[in-house]
Amino acid sequence: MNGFPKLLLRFLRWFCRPELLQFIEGDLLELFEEHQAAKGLFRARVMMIWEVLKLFRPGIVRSFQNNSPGPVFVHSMIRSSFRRLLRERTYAATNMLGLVVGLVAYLCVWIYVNYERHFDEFLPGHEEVYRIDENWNRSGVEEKWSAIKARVTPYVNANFPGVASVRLFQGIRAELQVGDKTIDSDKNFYIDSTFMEVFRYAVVEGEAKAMMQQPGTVILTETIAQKLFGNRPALHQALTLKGRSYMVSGVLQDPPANSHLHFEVLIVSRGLDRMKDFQLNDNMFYTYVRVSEHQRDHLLKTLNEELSSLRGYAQDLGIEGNSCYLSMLPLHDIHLHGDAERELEQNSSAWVVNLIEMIGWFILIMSGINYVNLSTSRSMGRIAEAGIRKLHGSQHWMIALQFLTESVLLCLLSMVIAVGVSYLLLPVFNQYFRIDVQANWVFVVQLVQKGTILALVVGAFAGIYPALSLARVSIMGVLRTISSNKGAGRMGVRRGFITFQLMISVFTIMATTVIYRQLQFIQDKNLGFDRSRLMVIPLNPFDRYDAIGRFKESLMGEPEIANASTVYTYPGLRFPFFTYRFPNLNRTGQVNATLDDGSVWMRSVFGDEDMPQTFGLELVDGRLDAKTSEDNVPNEFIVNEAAVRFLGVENPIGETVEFTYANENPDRGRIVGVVRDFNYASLHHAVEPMIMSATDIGWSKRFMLISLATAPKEVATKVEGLWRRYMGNAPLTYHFLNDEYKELYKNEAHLKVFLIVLAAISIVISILGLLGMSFFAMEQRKHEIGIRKVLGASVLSIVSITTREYLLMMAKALLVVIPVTYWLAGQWLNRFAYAIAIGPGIVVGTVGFVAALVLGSVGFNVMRSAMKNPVQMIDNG
Amino acid sequence: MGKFQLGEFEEIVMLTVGVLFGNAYGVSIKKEIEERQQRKVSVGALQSALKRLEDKGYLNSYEGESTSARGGRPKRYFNMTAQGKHAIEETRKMRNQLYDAIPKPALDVKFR
Repeated sequence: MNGFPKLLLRFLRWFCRPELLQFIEGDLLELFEEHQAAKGLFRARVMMIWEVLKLFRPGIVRSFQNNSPGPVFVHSMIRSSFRRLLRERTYAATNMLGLVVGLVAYLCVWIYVNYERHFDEFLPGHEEVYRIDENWNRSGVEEKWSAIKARVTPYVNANFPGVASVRLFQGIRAELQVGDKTIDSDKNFYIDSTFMEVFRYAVVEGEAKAMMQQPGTVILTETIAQKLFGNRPALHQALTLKGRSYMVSGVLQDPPANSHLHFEVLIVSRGLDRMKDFQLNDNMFYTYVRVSEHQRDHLLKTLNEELSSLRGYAQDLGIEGNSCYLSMLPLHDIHLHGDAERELEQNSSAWVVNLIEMIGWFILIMSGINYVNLSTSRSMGRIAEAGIRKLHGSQHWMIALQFLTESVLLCLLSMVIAVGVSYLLLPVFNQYFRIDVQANWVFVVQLVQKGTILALVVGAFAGIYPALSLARVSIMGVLRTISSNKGAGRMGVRRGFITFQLMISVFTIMATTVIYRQLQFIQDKNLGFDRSRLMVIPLNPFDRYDAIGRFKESLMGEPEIANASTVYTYPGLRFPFFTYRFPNLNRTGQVNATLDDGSVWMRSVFGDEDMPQTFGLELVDGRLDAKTSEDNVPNEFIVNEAAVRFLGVENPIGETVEFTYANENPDRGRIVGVVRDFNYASLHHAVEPMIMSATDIGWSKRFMLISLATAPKEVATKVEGLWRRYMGNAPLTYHFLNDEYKELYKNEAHLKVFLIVLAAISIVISILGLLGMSFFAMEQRKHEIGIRKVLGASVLSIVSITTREYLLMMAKALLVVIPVTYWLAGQWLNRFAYAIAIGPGIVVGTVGFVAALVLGSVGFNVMRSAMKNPVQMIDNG
Repeated sequence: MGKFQLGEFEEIVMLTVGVLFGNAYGVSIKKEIEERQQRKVSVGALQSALKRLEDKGYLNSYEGESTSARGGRPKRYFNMTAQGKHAIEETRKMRNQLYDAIPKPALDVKFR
């Protein structure tokens, strides 16, 4: 016995079959003594540990069933919980239904939020990739650019070993040709040879290093390769792009939907640095770096210190009042936080996603409260059970645990259903929100994980009150008056729940109204032009200049078409910045030259003479029909009201304008018209100064904009016919501006859907809670009501007596919540450039709605008992 | 052999119990096997084999004396039952039959 590890012996005693224990112990001790004598204490001990571990095997390990009170207890608890759920099927089903609806809604919210928050994370090592943004302040006008000047990447690559930087230059829409197959791509980018070092896309064909070696080759995505080459390998095949021949050096996997960059063709080019100076100095280059965390701050600091010595920045920064700094946006933040000029895609906004997440939590909390309400009312009927359990020797904690188990079990069951439903709903959900969540096992595991945690938390929270209150039941009290234990204190708690519930309802109803109306306002606001009838066809300006002209003329000839115009950009796309000089206005008004030649940047749009009519703009001053000059350069300009304010001129008509962008000899012209401000960007932003000019020059013909006189459907086929006649077999794509605006407010539209679900659930749950509570209260007070009636009370007086407490609860909820909501909603509305006012209408509407809700659900029960025959009420107690 | 399932280790334990006739308990069986078979036997493996054999009815056991070396714990002696005897005989017969059925040339294999 001496020296034998005690702990080991205890372990053995714990697991060993009792009938074998003493013999085995004997054997072990005997062996231990021998070993100790032969090989020393330490070796003997090690030996024994080994032996005991090997004893842990079937045949020797005892059965753990029915052996200790613990497992039996758990077993019985689960079994009796199941029995109860089966016996009270209806109750369990309604309770579960409420929970399942809430949980499904929450899980859907979670799926959405999770998707939105994990953009670009499919790329290996995405944590180290950043986009470099430019932040300008030009005499107080702030601009943030997602595409920057060309000189940053070469500087980084030359001076920072271990850091890779790449530029993406988006080419104009182009046709790709292989044999007689032609497809259209507006997602082609010229890239530096460092692309694969920064973006580690999965390679389908070719080799990551090799595909960057030869300039003059292209890299395709799988889909494009499939379209061009079918199932044949695309590697080393030739194709024609913009009239030049390229070789395919690699094929990459398609970027998934949750990426901010959906390229189709990448052109490996050393020509990026051979561009003209004005191009290199323009904000055209999406610049990304891969940099380790410890080098990041150093890199950014050095870049900003050296910025004024970089070509392209030096000139602009030389002017007083101009300043610029670079910032780095993590790749995975671009989707939610990228809101700079020239964003590659329509990003989401973090606040919408956060709001949606909050809605999810609200739904969850509400279904939790509903659950607590239902199970609390249910637990009243179980006081007798608790008493009897106590009588049989149950401890406090055992009873509490019993009720908790039931609650958690019910939640887990609901969760299983909810996870299943969410899983099945996923395709519908994906389609509706146009997201792409893969139903793979990672997703399922996440869902189940999330679900289980939620079920445990909700179950525990919901069960804790009934469990504790029932556990406190006194045996004597229960036995004396099993049927009449009313637990007056419990009413108070329920009242609290209902009040809280009402508060949440008031908040959701009011907040939903405000948010909904604001979103509606944004979407329906008169933008200053008619977007419902505008059709957009992307063009290839360089290919078919003459054909485009003939196509346009033929369109104008159709009766269904009101107007057609070729434009460089159109409302819905943010208008690009170009530079203009106002020689007579220099340093007057707000205009300070922000460039060294005395120019300023202004948002611009170019198009032919029919553009203002096609947009449907409202004229304020001058004329709309700006003419193109003989030599086809901009010379008659139209500005908006914001631009007039920006320029600070009394009479803008006739003011001289010089278009200085990339122009040694600026195109000189004058302002001929002023149009009413119209919203060409999202309404999150105020209307900015804009200048438009009439030109027929080739590069301006990026889109054919058609304004329709009739319903869009009929026109589409006609347009297609004309396209074929004049444009031959060039690929045709078109869309309606309305749809594009929907895309612009996609996030908000999603938010609206979630809001409606939230409001509906909150209202239903409030009604359920009120119904349940008033039913219970009426049951309790039926004697009282009966006696009152016998003594001569009218139905009306009984109704007023019994509804008073609900109205009181409602008043409390309204008084507390409405001011808070009012304030919060005001804060929220501040972020919009154009916002609704929270008028008395919204407040009165909320109050009225909640009052109707309370009276409607309480009234039913109240009326029923008030109308009953008093004899029945007094009698059957 | 269907009726008399004996694993290889079980068979060895059975035989050893027979060899130790009257003196077969945990430690002695273990040592005997280790000595004769030149293999390590863990207490766990042995005890679970003994339990299985007893459950099958091939062995029975009785509580023996306790010694101070065992910290006062009794020994547990094992005896072969009639059925157990039958079982090892059957097993042996089976094995012999199988051996005899091997054609002669198969045993003449010369290993290179």
